[in-house]
Amino acid sequence: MTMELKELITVGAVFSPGQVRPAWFMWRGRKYPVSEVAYTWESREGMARLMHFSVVSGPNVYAIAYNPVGSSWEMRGVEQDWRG
Amino acid sequence: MARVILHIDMNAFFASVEQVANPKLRGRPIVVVGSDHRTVITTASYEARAFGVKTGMTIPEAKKLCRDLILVIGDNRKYTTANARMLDVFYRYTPAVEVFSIDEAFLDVTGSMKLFGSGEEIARRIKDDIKREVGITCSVGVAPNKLLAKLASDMMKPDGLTVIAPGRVDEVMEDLPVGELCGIGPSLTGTLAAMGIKTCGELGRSSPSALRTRFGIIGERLRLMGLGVDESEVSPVDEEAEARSVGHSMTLRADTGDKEELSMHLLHLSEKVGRRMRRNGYLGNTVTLTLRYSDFRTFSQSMRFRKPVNDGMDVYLLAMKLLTPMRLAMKVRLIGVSVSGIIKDPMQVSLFEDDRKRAAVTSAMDDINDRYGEFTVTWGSLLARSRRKGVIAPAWRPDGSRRVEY
Repeated sequence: MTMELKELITVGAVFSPGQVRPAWFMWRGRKYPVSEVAYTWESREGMARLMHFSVVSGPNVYAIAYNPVGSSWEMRGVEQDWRG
Repeated sequence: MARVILHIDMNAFFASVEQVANPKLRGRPIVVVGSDHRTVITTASYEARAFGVKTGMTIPEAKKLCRDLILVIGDNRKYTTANARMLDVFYRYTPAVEVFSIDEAFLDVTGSMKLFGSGEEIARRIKDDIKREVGITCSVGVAPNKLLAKLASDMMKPDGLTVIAPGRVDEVMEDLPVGELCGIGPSLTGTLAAMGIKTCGELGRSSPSALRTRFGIIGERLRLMGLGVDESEVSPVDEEAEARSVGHSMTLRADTGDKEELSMHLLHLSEKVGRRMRRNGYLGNTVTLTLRYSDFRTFSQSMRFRKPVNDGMDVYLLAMKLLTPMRLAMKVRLIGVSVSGIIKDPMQVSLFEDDRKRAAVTSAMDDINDRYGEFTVTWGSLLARSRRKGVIAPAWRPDGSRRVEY
């Protein structure tokens, strides 16, 4: 089941020309390495163009979003316990 | 020189994108549905289709066929992003791209073959590019016109590539059931069958006068379709006709006969219609209210304004004039509002101060909502309404008035 969230998080990401790639994120006091960026998509919230990432860490899939206005990252959703 | 047209159709588009975005869904039977479980199935993955699950089924119908079916609430932003990436790929090969729907497009590659090779080679390159860059598969039809290209892409799914060469058209059409052609639906198929016409070969050999007598001006067009002839051009996005109407609808979380609740949804939908009309510089003079009862019976009523408008409140007030006197026969499942009689807004300033003040308020609200997001400033009566994701309309386009931000 997907749990929808909206929590500010800290993310370590590689910014290269035309591309942003999250490498790890800190959420609720724990650091999660990103093993796969499965998909990226965009949305608009007012003037801000948000970049969304579906990332895999351990057994879970997380949806995180980057807002270039203010350079903030948010945890938007978690899909847990899907293996087995 | 014969034209070379490609029709590209993404396979189970929404479901495929969800499977790319979430590795847990890969290889599993999933369906994409609207924001709650009352809407019908928008798309089924091929794994779900193997159980007989189809687009348009209700969730209980689908669950009966596949107990382990996974329901995924659609996220239109993922699909519009995938669509933008698809278009980037198409434009590498030709500027003549007609977006037919969010997951289908026609490409005229006649002028691109010197650069990229034959139609079939271009089709292969596009399939590879989309697989690599979007992560999903598509079926491509290559043919001398749009009608046949669409027919060809339908012939092999998923991940197909079918070429109908000009010399093979007669052979392909001869025994093909007329209902296989895009534009000939079940009703028309039935009417043609009653005339003794079941295959495209028979349709092509039919008497033009008999078809004209039965179908009027489209009779000759039908005969040409039977012959596999289609002269229509691939119309790039920027050449598309202006919208004829602007509308929004929603399936309710639970059926209701409460007019106060319906009124709140109507205000929300009217505001969305007004925003889209102003963004595209339109005015309209006719409001249509559509209701669908819980038994899926659907009906619409329309009313005209004295002068064209594009303010959501005007749209709402007229729609309420339609709703208020209605005696609802049963609870309502879906509500929709649209504005037609569209003209371009001449941006004329009103002579009356009240109108000018209201236009200024609307403009200020638009500025704030442009900056901070839709419905940041809105009517107090909408505050209780939670944000919901909508189901993307088949008419969605990457640009123009059919583009809707989700």
